[in-house]
Amino acid sequence: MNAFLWVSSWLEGFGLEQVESIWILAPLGLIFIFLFIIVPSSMIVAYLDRKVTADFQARVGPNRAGPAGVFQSWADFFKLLQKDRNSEVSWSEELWLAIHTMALYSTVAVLPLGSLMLLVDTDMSVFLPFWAALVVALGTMLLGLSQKTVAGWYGGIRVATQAISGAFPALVAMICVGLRAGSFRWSGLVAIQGAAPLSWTAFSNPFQFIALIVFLVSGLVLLAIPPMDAALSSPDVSGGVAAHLSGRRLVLFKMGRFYSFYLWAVIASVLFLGGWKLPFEISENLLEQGKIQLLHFLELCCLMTKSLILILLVIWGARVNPRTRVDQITDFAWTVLSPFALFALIGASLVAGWGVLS
Amino acid sequence: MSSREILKTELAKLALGPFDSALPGPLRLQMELDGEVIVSAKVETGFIHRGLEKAFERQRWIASISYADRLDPDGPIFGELALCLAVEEIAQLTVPPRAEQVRVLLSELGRISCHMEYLVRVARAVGSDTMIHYVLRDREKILDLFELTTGARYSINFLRFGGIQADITEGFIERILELSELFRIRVKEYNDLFTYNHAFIQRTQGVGTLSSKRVRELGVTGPNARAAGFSADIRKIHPYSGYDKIDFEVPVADLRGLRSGDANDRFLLRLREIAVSTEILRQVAENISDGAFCSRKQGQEIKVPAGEAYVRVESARGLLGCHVAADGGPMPARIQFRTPSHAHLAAIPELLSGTRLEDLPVVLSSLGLGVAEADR
Amino acid sequence: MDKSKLISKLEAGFPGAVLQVQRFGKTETQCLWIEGKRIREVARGLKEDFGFNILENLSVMQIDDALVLTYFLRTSDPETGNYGECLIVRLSAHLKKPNHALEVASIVDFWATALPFEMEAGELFGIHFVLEGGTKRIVTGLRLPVGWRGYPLRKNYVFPESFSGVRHERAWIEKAGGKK
Repeated sequence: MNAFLWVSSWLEGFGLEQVESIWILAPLGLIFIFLFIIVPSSMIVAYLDRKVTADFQARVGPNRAGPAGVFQSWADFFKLLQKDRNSEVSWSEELWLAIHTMALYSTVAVLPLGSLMLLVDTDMSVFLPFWAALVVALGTMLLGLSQKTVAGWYGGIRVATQAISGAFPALVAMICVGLRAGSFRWSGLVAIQGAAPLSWTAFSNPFQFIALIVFLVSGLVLLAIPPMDAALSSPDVSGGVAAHLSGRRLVLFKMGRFYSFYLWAVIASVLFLGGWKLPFEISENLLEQGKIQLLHFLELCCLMTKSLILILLVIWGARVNPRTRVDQITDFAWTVLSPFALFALIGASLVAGWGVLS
Repeated sequence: MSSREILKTELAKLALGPFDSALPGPLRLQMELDGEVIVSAKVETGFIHRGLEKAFERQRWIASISYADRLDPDGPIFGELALCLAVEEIAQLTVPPRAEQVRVLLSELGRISCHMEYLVRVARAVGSDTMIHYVLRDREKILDLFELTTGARYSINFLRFGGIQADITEGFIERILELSELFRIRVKEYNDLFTYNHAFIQRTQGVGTLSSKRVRELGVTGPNARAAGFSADIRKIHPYSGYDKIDFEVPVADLRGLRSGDANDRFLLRLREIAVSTEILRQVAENISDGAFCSRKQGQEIKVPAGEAYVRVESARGLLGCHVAADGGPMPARIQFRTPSHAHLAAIPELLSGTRLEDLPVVLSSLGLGVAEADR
Repeated sequence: MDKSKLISKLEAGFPGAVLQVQRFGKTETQCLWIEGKRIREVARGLKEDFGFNILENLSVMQIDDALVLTYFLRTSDPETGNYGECLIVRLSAHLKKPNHALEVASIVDFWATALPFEMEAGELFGIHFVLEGGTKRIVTGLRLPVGWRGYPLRKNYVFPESFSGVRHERAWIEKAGGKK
């Protein structure tokens, strides 16, 4: 179980005895990943988002909290945590928010963060985030419906329709990748890719490139990421589901939004853009020398860099373009993305089959 | 046949307002929704009724200028100009040419500023933040010019009966010429950013269509009417304040029966109007004449003889009319404004019925409503 | 069209309706005073026979103890929408009871654009516009809060001392003899 080796090796480094029970290692692993990888990433991405957006819009962006405003995310985070609830507890809202959160953070277990940092590496690993995204959409819809306000109803239904329309092309694009790799394990998907861009799945054949584009766009639609965020930010219903959330629940919801964006970027990098593969045989050398933590760290940096570039590209597109309407998004997903996805699937299977036959 | 007959559903009721980010001002919309489609909408106004018309009658003539420029907070110059022209007609005052030209400069600056605010509102409705900041950054230059000359950014209170309050500041003309150069480039930038953007076209084309027939029946005037093909512009039909000496072309949508007056047309028309106003600014600034800036001494009490006048001014939103009645006393007997936003408000219920709820901000912002001037 | 011909045709068509012909303002627009009770016939005639299909403005004011309604009519070119002739029609309605509402015939059947003007003037001046079938349009809650008494734009209007628990300072100042 190499997944837990690294957790126990980290713990041993602190002087604790060798801990073998999976029931302790697994939650510790999840908490570790969440606190030390996801939360800092959200801080960095939030800061960069605001600064880069400000640059596009001829403004300055945060520049008060810390030098050049680098502590702005911390300041916002702590401020929002202190906000008290201003309405009565609505148990149906709490329930759906909890389900929404659980579905989302269950994917932390399958997050592919490095060759040795895979907690769950099975053939269903790739699909868990996908189903989780659908459950999140369901949870958001029911959250909206339970709010008993018009903003909630409309926001909730819009999220559900958008998610359903984006799910199909995303799924088909993921299958294209698996066809080439021969398996759906994270380790398998990354093993067939190399460090150099030309050996990434995306550029191996034109059908995979189409699958990349389809996956990128349909992921945005599935997870309601700007610029496809009409379901969650439309001014006519004051932002839909989030209109009646405030304080800590709003932080939870917003963290969830960021996390789904992040998840999408990480999975796209791993599936199509070479994942954590390091160049110049660094990984083999470090493994031989036994410097496992350094290897983890470098692979993580490689993966995070690729995800960050993807995230910034999407933010760029979102800030410059207007928001399309929900029904225009769903039309686009059903009538444009799905045919392209199927075309890519047929092509990818032909290519894979050719390779086998010849 | 609606889905109500197949699946037993009810219409949802939604009341937006009076304060909402989707609305252009304080008004309440009571809507009935069938799914995402608005079935009927009712407009309630009066939330910003300030009793301006009564206030006019209770103050002296000179104070009425301050009230008139608060008629429409987005285009204060037009209210002042209409009032001053009307009172000058009653009192038979002549306005020196320099003052007339400065009035034209301020009117066109006000028109550009109002249209830029319109661009910002449409960009917000459509969800593009970048456009908002670019346009507001450029609008600051116009507001700086207002401040340079009149002392205030918005409610300028600068016109007086017989001319303007004070002579224009040194550097004003030069900065206007610089500004007209800058805006020529900027209009092209806004064009590139939005006009051909596929997402923007998808959001605005076919949305909120006002056919030319309805424009005529509702009495819609100004850029909204010109976007539907009607070329009436008061600056050409009843020229005032020296507009007949300026060479400019009124932009009109050339529809040839294809589409008529949807949100995209109204947006594009206002972009073209900014370009035309820039040209007028340049012409007038290059040919500004010297001389007096007011035909009456400042601070003098004005004696308005008994009489009546009705003048029309082309404001940024449409035809602004001012009916003034004087009875020879120190206070006006009646000042009534005919504002263009009434017709636009009357168009809202029919524009909204049949549109999707998500297009509501786009429809409302594309009309360029001035709720404050409709309520007075 | 020649105004004198217009006037003579009107006088022929509606005998006794046109009370006086004047010039309005510097632009010397033709201005007709007509008898209040005949406004609907004259309106129909002007719209259908003479082509004044746009009502630009409907302005109400009080002169002494009568309310004067001024209708600004225009012709328009159906193709370009350009405005043509202008005609001003006025009627005066005597305020027999200074604090009661007045009844004037409504012309929204002819020009739909008259509706917002009629509603506003109706509420602020206290005019009940009478529609075709005899129904009166009584407007409340449009500009003024529901429950407001009195017609603010009339000259004899006195501000209430308080409304809904809020003191009206001007009324108190006036009562104390301060500046009006």
